Amino acid sequence: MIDQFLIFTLTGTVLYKYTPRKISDNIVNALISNVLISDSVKSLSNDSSVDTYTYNGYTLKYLRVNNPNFVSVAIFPTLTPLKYANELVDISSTLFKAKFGDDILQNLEAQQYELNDLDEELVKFDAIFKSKLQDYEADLVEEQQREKELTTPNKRETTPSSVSSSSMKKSGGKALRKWGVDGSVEEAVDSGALDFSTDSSADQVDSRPTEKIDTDNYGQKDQSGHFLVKDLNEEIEYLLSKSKEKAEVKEQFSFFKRFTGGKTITPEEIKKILKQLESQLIKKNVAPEAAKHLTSSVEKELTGSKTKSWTSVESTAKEALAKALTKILTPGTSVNLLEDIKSNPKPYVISVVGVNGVGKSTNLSKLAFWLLQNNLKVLIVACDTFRSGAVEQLRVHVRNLQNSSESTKSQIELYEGGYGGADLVAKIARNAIDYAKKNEFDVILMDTAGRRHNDAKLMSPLASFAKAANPNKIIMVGEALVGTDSIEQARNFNAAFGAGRGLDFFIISKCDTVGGMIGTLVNMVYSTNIPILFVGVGQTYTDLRRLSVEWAVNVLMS
Amino acid sequence: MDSNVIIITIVAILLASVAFFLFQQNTNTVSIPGLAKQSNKQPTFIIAGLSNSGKTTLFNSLTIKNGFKMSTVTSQEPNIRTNFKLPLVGNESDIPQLSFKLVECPGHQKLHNFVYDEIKNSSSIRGLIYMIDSTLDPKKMVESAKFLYEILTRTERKANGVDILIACNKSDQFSSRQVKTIKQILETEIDNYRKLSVSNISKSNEDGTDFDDDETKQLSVSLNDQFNFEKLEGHIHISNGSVLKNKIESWTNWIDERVVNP
Ligand SMILES: Nc1nc2c(ncn2[C@@H]2O[C@H](COP(=O)(O)OP(=O)(O)OP(=O)(O)O)[C@@H](O)[C@H]2O)c(=O)[nH]1
Ligand SMILES: Nc1nc2c(ncn2[C@@H]2O[C@H](COP(=O)(O)OP(=O)(O)O)[C@@H](O)[C@H]2O)c(=O)[nH]1
Ligand SMILES: [Mg+2]
Ligand SMILES: [Mg+2]
Repeated sequence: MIDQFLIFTLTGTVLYKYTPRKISDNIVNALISNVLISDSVKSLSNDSSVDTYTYNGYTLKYLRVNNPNFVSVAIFPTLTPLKYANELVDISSTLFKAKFGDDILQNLEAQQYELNDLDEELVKFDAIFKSKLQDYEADLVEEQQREKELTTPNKRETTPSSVSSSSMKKSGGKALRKWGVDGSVEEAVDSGALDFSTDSSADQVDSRPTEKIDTDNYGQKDQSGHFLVKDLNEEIEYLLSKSKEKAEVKEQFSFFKRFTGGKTITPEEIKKILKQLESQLIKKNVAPEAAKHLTSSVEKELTGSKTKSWTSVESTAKEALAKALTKILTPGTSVNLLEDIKSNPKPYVISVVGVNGVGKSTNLSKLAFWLLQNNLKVLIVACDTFRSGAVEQLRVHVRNLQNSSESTKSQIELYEGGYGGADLVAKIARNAIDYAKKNEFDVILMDTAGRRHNDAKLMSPLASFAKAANPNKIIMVGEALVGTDSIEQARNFNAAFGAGRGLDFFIISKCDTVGGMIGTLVNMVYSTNIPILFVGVGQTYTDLRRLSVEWAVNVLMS
Repeated sequence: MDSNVIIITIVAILLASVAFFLFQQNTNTVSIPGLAKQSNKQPTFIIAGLSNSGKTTLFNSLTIKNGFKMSTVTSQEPNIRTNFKLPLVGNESDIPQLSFKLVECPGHQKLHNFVYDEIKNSSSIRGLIYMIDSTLDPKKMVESAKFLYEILTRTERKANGVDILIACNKSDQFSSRQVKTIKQILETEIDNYRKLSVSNISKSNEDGTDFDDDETKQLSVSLNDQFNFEKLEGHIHISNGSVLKNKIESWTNWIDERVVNP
């Protein structure tokens, strides 16, 4: 059973709503927020077909339509699947589009302070929608009956009475079609009247009596002053043929519209331009997978829509791509590490992970420098017990930081436990936390050994480490130089800490060395939806920056 | 000779298009090569705030008769009117109205740049309506304070700042907080947050895209002083109302005042 059907604009106004049952707004808002805006659940379909999203026990079937731009969604409990949901969403969208045409939104905009006859048209659409819904319900009931009859052939032969009872229900199902606009579907199913009244029609099973009953009832509804189903069907036919026709109409003066805007964007045009933009992104070190995803989301958004006035298709596409990049790089929650440190019990544990040589130890020291400046007492823990020289490297950093100013002398220490295997790492982590508690450190920074993301033997100890250290934040350091492989790196590290635990942030190092080819930023966020905390821009302690999304998008688009 | 007429017409249209096209290009400030960002000189009102505060409902209520009755869902894109007629009292009387731009920006965290861009690109902002769901629990109220802070760091950079109406919406609800309480929470949290911002790591803005100096971050109020709205360049007004119950006179009055005496 359907709980809700909605058609709404991208700007957030509901154009049509059918809610036979009470359902929280949070369900559809979760779809918009988590899928349509955040893209955290990557859409499965590449073309413009109905997609599925499940949330909180509900299944949502949705479709994004262009020109006019709106989204249709059908919501039903996941436990009681709605078999015809896809078709319902599809056909309702087509009908809505044909009925209101390109200009429903323009009308909304132009008719400032007056809704005009939009209301009336919506009432008509309501009738169309409900009649379609009842068709589907009726077909479904019929189909179920047919299935039942097929799967219980023995019963049918031995007890003919059961056949007749099912046939009664069958005609009852058909009768739904006649309900017109006045009642909800459930009511129709619940009403038992038909089951008794058609008692005598038991022998009509095979002679298909349903059509006759249908027409009788059409007449009745006619008299009671409701929308005529016949008229509705005609209107539906008309709208469907109109929507087909429209697709074929050739755009006039398209040469001028290329410059002046107001041109409908064709699939071929947009594909060609996006191909260029895609290769431009790839040149900036964006992984082909991520570039493809971004451009195809722009394609979906623009195909069939109209360019703004005085805007070419090309700049429309560029603008849309810049928007998509901004959306992907902007964190979904506000990020302020200092605030988080201050509002959590001491010691606050941060650990850094990543592949060999990406800059874990260096950026950990930069973090330490910044924390010291903010009067926090920092314990650096050498959990890289694997690579020789790792502990010594940290010792140098700690000594430098101690000497960086008078006040920092006693504010930073190194905790070390020598070299050894995974067991030792967990032990050092636990002991370091005890030590920090006793000595009132504010923050613990744990360095870990670099590891290949595709080496399961090296990756698996990360889970036991995360359990032992239970860090407040796990930060993965990735280098801007790496390129396409960054997608796999980020995914594997994110999945390495066991169920319920993942990465919290990225630090992307060596952004100073890639000369604008900062595609890695996009790759890492694209593959995990984890925000970038900082970017590394050099080898000194102050070479750490917050990511300016605007800057990054400018660089990527240039 | 028929064909001559056609050719002349085509050439004329072509020249006109090209001229317009070039003219249009000139009025744009191009920040991304090949990507024109429209600079906006029209007198403008902006509606901003966190998700679910009632911005779209207010926008519909201001632009469509009985628009407050239209239901809404989370917005993905801004609502824009370039022919928004003000003062609003003119809708029911024969007071002459002028065209303004009204922009309502989505509240989703990932879409906050719409507000920032609008502030940056508009040279004549008459006012900004910052909406707050006054039924929010304290933790979400802190989120709202942060967003307002981010907006203030941008509006305060403009000459004379920007006048802001803090519209505490949903006053029809039993759980809504008083204006006084909300003002106090906002001022305290903004005070905290500007200190955190000053000590935060600065941004990667080699080409000067984001504003990131300490003066901006502390909102031109010394960190030793307690922050309050009165210390800002722009005039800040705070009042409550309910879009859903169509109780928005104090907000529409605020808008009209800014139209009559800019
Ligand atoms: N009780 C009450 N609810 C309101 C009021 N104004 C708006 N709402 C409800 O608040 C919800 C959110 O309103 P919207 O206008 O969609 O919120 P928004 O600020 O546009 O949210 P985003 O588009 O996500 O940024 C809707 O369910 C409204 O019906 C009000 O004055 N009182
Ligand atoms: N140019 C540049 N070099 C960096 C940056 N971060 C780290 N490095 C260098 O990368 C190398 C490896 O760093 P290290 O911290 O030892 O990597 P780890 O093995 O991941 O701990 C060192 O030579 C660092 O100086 C950065 O942001 N920019
Ligand atoms: Mg190291
Ligand atoms: Mg909205």
